[in-house]
Amino acid sequence: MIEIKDVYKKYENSSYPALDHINLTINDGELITVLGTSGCGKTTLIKAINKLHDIDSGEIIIDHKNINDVDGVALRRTIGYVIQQVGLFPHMTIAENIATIPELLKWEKDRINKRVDELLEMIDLPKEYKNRYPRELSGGQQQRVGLVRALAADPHIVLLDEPFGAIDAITREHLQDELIRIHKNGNKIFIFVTHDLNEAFKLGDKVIIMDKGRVEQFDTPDHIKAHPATPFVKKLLGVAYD
Amino acid sequence: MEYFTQYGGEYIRLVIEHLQISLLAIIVSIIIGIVLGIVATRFNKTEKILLFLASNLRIIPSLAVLIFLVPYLGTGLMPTLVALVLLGIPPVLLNTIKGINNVPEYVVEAALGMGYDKRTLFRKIVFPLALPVIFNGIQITTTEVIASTTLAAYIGAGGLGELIMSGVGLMRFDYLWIGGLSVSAISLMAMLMLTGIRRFLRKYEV
Ligand SMILES: Nc1ncnc2c1ncn2[C@@H]1O[C@H](COP(=O)(O)OP(=O)(O)OP(=O)(O)O)[C@@H](O)[C@H]1O
Ligand SMILES: [Mg+2]
Repeated sequence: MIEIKDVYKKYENSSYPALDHINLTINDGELITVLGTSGCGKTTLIKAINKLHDIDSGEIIIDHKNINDVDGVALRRTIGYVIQQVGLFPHMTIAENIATIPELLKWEKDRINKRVDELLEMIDLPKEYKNRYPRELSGGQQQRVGLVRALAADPHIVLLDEPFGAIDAITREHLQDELIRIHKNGNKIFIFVTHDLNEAFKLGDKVIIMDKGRVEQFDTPDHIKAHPATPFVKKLLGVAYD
Repeated sequence: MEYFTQYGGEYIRLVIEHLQISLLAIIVSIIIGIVLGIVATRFNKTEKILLFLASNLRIIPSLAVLIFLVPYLGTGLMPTLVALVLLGIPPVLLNTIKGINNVPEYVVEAALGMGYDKRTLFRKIVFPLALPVIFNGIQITTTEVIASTTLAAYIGAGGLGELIMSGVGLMRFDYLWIGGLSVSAISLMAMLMLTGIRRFLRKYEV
């Protein structure tokens, strides 16, 4: 469970807060999507949860532990993270990329190899891709690898920051279905950032709608469609369905 | 070409001396250049100062440095090495800074996001990805130092410069040719060797 209590953050050179008194409770097993326009604070929220960014005030509590009391490096090894630009390491093979966190956690070789095979199978990449370099993969394949790299050490929480960004519609739909399937197999929390309304509503058990650092609404897709909470949400839905 | 039959042993001594002086200067330059470069990227101010120094140091001719050093370090190997190292550091230093700064932000971000600590991040990600650019600097340093080692002869440290100097002194153009071509040949061979090594670094290119 992740509890976000009255979290506030303003970047020094910014005139408005990136996170403006955010309150959220996310339960185990939920796939949450975060929807909002560019610059509304989605990435900042993700980075606050894994302590890549400090917050000015408020509390973030993961499984009843305030993350202030946890070492950031150790915390990040337990949370999966897919960054906005995929970020595979260009000088490491696909297998080495996927093995990143298990290596950091000093798993045994056999266990790592087995895990890599398992994950490649999960995303339908043939075994001969293991020794290829990221540049030898298509954009969609790279994003798949980025996804399973984050899952390698079987994290309880996975943060995904627009992981399916620059991808054609068909491949994207494929990856979305894959993500839903992967999420179903565990009692994990996925927090998935997107600025695509259809993606947010398709994937999310619940959707966080953000604007200018504030949470405008946090509810199931059906509820949001039936009862948009604020003019911003109404407008957002209007643009999509008119 | 009776030079070789007459002074073959002497020639080999000069070549070996030249190689020794160059190699020593190159290795020291690389080590100092890389270490300074890494330090520079850690601290913003140091980076600016070193970038300024390194860019300007290259304008000063090494012969000037050499002559300037003689009163302090005397003649012989030591001032030669200091002058060559001063000449050899800037390309490595500048390229180390450039290489490290060139590592894409998102790669660093991904690594930090997965729980790399600062040291592992540098060792496993940043430095390897900076290597190709650093290596370019090493290649420049190598050619510059090998060519400039010729100057060592002016203060009695030996090397192929001796041959060139006696060529000038004795008006023996064949000595000049042999000396000059030998230095070029060494440069060329060093380049070929480094280009060979460079191929292994291709996977680190970003
Ligand atoms: N490192 C930073 N320093 C200063 N301001 C920042 C920094 N990172 C983000 N901001 C600002 O904070 C606000 C929120 O940024 P954030 O990256 O969280 O937005 P986002 O919702 O992820 O946007 P996008 O959809 O474009 O990725 C923006 O106004 C942005 O300019
Ligand atoms: Mg973002």
